[in-house]
Amino acid sequence: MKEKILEVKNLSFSYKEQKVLSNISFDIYKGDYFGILGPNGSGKTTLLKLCLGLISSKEGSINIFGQDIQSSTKKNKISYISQKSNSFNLSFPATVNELIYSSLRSIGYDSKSSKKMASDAIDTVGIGNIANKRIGNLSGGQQQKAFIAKAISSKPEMIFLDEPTVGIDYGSEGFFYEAMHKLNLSGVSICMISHDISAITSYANRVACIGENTFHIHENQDIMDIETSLKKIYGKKMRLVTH
Amino acid sequence: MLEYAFMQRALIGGLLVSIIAPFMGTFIVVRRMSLIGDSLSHVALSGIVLAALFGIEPIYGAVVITVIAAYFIFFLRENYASYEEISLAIIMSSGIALASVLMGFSKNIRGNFLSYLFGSITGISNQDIYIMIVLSFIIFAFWGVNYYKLFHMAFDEESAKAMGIKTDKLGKIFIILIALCVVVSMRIVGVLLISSMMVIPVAAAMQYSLSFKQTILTSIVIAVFSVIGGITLSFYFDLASGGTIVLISVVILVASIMLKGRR
Repeated sequence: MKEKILEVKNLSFSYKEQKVLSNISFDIYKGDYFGILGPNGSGKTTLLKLCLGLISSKEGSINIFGQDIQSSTKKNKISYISQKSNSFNLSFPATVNELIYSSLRSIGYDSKSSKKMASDAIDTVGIGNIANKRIGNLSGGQQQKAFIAKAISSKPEMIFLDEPTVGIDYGSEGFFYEAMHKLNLSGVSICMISHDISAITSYANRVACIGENTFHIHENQDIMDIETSLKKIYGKKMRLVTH
Repeated sequence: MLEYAFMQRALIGGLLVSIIAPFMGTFIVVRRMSLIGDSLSHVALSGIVLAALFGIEPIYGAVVITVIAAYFIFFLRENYASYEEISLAIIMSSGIALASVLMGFSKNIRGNFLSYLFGSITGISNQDIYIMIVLSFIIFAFWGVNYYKLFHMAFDEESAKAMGIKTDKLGKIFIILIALCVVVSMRIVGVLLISSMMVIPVAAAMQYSLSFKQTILTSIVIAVFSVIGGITLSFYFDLASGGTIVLISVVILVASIMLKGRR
């Protein structure tokens, strides 16, 4: 039986009076590539933030590695790549190497291990040429590679991603999805929100479609089934083209 | 000038300020909180006047009132989460308002008040120096333990929180430390000019520094130069120390921008 990493039970969430999520339950297991699709305002990012413990809900429960997300001591086993334009401070005066090294130190690794792990992550992503450059001086694609290196440097068991390819070119986007696919094949669980429906349906083994009062998980990659769900949540017929 | 005890105190205090203010300032600038030093320093004024009313050392009053103001900032930020600068504007004007009202009750503070506004190297007592050393030690001890957590938070607060760093608690302690930094700096540069010591050396250093550590170290070098230069000039030419220090750092900032533009 697969190891359960994330367990969401009867989760509901409201912003002030408006119900955003209603009685959602699902699990994510070791090795899952869990894609989340849905139109703007459907609650995708809210769901991800709840799963990460960035916000909390009074209704329902979320456990990660068997512990409540708000008090979990195992959060250093996860990584998060958010929508960079919303979260990252790109004028930050730090080099890529410094950023990765310091992030590792911040979650408890000692200096020697952090240097080695940062260097390994930089080699894995192939960004040795930009490791000593300031993050703000890099192109969007290079920054995204740096964030992948940061995310994998701590050897996480699960990575959460919120529309990670927004604002990067087609080539960098392809690199990104390939990198996540390889990571997933090595056993890392992925939970990704994306507007790129074809990428999600190509790589994810489980796809959640979220819409107004709708939450449906497709446990296999049956294109017809997913197209039916997408029609329901987007309100128009969609034809999927896989990568 | 070093044969004078007050100059020895001024230089010790000045060196503490020139290390702590830009160190804190680097994090303040990258977290886009540059106004917070101004807000807390204006509140420190009311602490100084209050202490004078009760006949105790002004620096104690400043410590208590700025830490209370830091808590008030947390309270306001929770109520105006989308408009963070509102809390700073409210704190700043409340501090000045309270100081001006309290001054009406204390006639003897007025002569001394200017030295707190603009800094005075002759006004630093042994007591001030002891408190500055203790507060500086507290600030350094905190940084020694939490430097990397605050670095991660400053770059990407959501990621830091997702990975288990207690960002809410650290953010609050950080603001309390800014309050302590304001108190450490106020005798040297004056409450009206404290935030410039947290911001200007950092702004100049960011023009050239590649890494975060380089930014911190360069800003400290700029601040040490400005503070020692300012204290020396204010001794020989009888100038307000705070203004002289800040003007030197502004000259360095303008020069750094111009030199970068010529590259």
